[in-house]
Amino acid sequence: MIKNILSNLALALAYVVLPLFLPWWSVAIAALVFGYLATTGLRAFSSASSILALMWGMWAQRHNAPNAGLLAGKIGALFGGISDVELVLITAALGGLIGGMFGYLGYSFRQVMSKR
Amino acid sequence: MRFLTLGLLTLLSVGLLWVLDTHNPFGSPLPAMGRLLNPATGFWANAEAQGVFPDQKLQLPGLKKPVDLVFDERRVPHIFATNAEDAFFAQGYITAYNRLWQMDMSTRKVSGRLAEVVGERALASDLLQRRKGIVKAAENLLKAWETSPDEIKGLNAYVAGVNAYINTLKPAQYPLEYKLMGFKPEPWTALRSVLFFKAMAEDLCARNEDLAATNTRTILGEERFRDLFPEYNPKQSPIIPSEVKWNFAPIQPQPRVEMAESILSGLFPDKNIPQPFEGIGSNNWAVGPQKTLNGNPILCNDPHLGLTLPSIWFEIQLQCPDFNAYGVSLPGLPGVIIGFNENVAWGETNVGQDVLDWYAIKWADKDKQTYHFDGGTRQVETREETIQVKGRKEPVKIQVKYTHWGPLVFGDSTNSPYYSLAMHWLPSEDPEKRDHYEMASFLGLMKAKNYADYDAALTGYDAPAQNFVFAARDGDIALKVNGKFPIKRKEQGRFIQDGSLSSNAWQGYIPRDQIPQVRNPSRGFVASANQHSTDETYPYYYNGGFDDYRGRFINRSLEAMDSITVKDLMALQNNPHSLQAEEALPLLLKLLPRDQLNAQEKSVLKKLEKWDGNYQHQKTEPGIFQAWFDSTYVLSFDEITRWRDSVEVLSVESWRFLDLLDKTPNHDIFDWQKTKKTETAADLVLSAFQKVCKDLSKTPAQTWRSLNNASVNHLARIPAFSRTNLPISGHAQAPNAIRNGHGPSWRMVVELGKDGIKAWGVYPGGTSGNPGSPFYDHMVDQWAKGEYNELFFMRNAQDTRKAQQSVWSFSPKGR
Repeated sequence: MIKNILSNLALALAYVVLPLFLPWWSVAIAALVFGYLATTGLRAFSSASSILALMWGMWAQRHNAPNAGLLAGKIGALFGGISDVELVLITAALGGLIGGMFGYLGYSFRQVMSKR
Repeated sequence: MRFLTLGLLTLLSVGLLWVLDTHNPFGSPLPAMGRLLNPATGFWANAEAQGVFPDQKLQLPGLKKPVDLVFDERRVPHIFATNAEDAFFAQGYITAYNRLWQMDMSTRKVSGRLAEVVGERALASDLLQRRKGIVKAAENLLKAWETSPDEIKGLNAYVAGVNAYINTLKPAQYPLEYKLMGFKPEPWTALRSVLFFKAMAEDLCARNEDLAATNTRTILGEERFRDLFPEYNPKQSPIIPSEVKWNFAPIQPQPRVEMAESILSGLFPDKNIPQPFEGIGSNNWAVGPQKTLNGNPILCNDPHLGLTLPSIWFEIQLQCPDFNAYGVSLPGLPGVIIGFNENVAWGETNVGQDVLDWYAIKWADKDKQTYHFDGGTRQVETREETIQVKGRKEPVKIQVKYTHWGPLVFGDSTNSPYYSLAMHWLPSEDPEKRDHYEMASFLGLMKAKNYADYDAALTGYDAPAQNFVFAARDGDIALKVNGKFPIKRKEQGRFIQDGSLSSNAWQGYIPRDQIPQVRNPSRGFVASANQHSTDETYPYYYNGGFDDYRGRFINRSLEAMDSITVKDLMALQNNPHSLQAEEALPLLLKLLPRDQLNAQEKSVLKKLEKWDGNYQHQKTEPGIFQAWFDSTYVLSFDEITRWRDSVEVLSVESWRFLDLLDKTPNHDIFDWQKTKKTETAADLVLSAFQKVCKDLSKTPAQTWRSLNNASVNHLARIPAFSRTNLPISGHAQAPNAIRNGHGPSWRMVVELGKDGIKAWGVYPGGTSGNPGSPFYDHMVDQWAKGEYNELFFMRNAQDTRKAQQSVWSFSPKGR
């Protein structure tokens, strides 16, 4: 249990720190490694996905709130009139998609390696 | 099986990342969504916190001494340096901080490097820019500026400041548009600053009507052409009042040479050169102490340009031991372009004088390598231009041919096998050897204490020629039509000229002491609004069509005014009254046969009769009048307007149109070509009026606001970053010359009091170029309402008469 919480925290940290030094898609690498080490496929997928969704959603909102939705509203207008809050949710969902896919991919790698 | 699943999953996941990291994936217009949306480096990072602008301490390589930047409540930077170079370094840094993408795009556009970042759709524009030889011209001007020590030191410091900022940037901090368009900032150079200056020249002095005038003369014949296109309006109220006498011996140009008939067979079909926007200009004036309530001179300027977000102007104060100047600067150039210091104020409007002429080149060989000149032949020079196009593997290469006149802008794929057109443009000429050039002119104005300094500063300024207005605390007011002007014989350069004769070259340049200028005229004010510089007594030929309604209205208004206050002049800048409408409406009403109108038409007429010529945005009368006026115009000149789609033709100036309506309503120009009947002006006025009324019976009259659609568009025309349909009253021929996306780009009023300077200003934009900043467009509504900011002209960095938002302290790094 404690191990799970710790690995989740490590993943959350990696999601935030890696893109400060590496390209934005380095979050996928974090998810991949996390999935490789995960105990079950469900956990690899759900944790990698939900944590990146949460991190991206919170991070986006942390930019959005002090800006009072000014920029997100304009970017939303570029994409057909999406509101700033919707754009935060879309950002979170995109994070969820990337995190989940690469988390599960990591898990699948280990499955293949260990069965060989 | 497992391997297959894994393979598919890998492909899918990596494929997703690739799509999210690719700009315009699969040819779609989408940006790289992952790059854009991720909160670490995507657009979210450009969302600026409202109301927070923390103090900063920065160590920057390239500075000599510490510099303070104080930001006021509108986030205008006030720079305090111990030397001029550090002041310009800080200006470069803070301008790039606010406007980097704008600087990048405007210089890419003028130098033909847009396709590199936006792809195919900019290739045509890039090819044209390369063919015009703008980069070559900028390289030559930079070489000249390099020989002037103050100028090049200031420019290099500015460039270093811009690059110091660029070097601090991590991808997360790239301006938003880089992220949307998918490219990166690159280092700034002195050449790019000069290119920006050339972009201004292109905007302001590249208008030319040689092709249009030549075609129109061919279409109409000599006699009718002269009748419809006189060069001087007798009602003209020129910039320099008639009391100024020309006490000098002018240089006499050589007599006229006709073009060889072989070239003149038919019309010139070349039509692919977009012209700078016509019919809009700028206003400036200064009123002397004898005409103001406080006994202080007051100077005003509102330059009318294409209105964009980010704005073309960047407000700034620069203080160092050499100068303490405040005003607006151009993002890309050091210094203050329109502004004031502790003793004087200055401003500019554009001079309409034609400095771009076309020469028909007669080829001497089939391969178009040699051309006839003065009985012999000359060889063209070629310069290879390489254009990188995003999405193409190989760059596009073209050979641009240069004759001694200038580049063959249309290429030699011109429609005629016998000739090509070479462009001769003043800002492309090699600069003359001088002790200073354009940039130093502005430095000179920033340092100026009096009229003599102003006078000396302007001598180095060539192009784009400007009407430099001036006022000083000691009571002097002045205006100089300043620039390098070719000496031309009458009508030289009005039409395409034969490029095989040296006698068609410009005949030298008007000596600086003979250019039109005035100081402290008896009428107590100086003013310009792009009209004719002088009356007809001035001994040099002036060619520059510009309707002069604003000029006449402003001169008339200022003449009538007395005990003038700052508020009065703000009202004049914002005045929506069109003298054109004032003069046209009674003429149209007089000609309209009322007995032929039905009830609905009569009610429309009743409404118009009461209209005062003010283009109020809430009213419908301006739109009705405008439709009537425009429609009468088109019917009147059907002989010319029907050619518009196939070749370039001239438009008869409005004043001449009104003159014809007034004095010769039976002129055969009013006869409509399509009918057997012989129409007169009255028939056309009636027909136009009935058409307008018929339209009104179908759709309700629109307000002037919705018709004029006053807009400040984003530089890349992104609608969400633009402000459109603004409630503002005005018209191209009114002092508040707002017309769709053009209008007053900066309004400034400066009172030069004995105890100090007070100034007000506003521009339709904001300090920041970031659409995610609350300071992106914070002055647009204020500008539309005609309101001004009192400008905080700080005495020193400790001046706390007004709130300071924050202070940035720069100090030198390294050494």
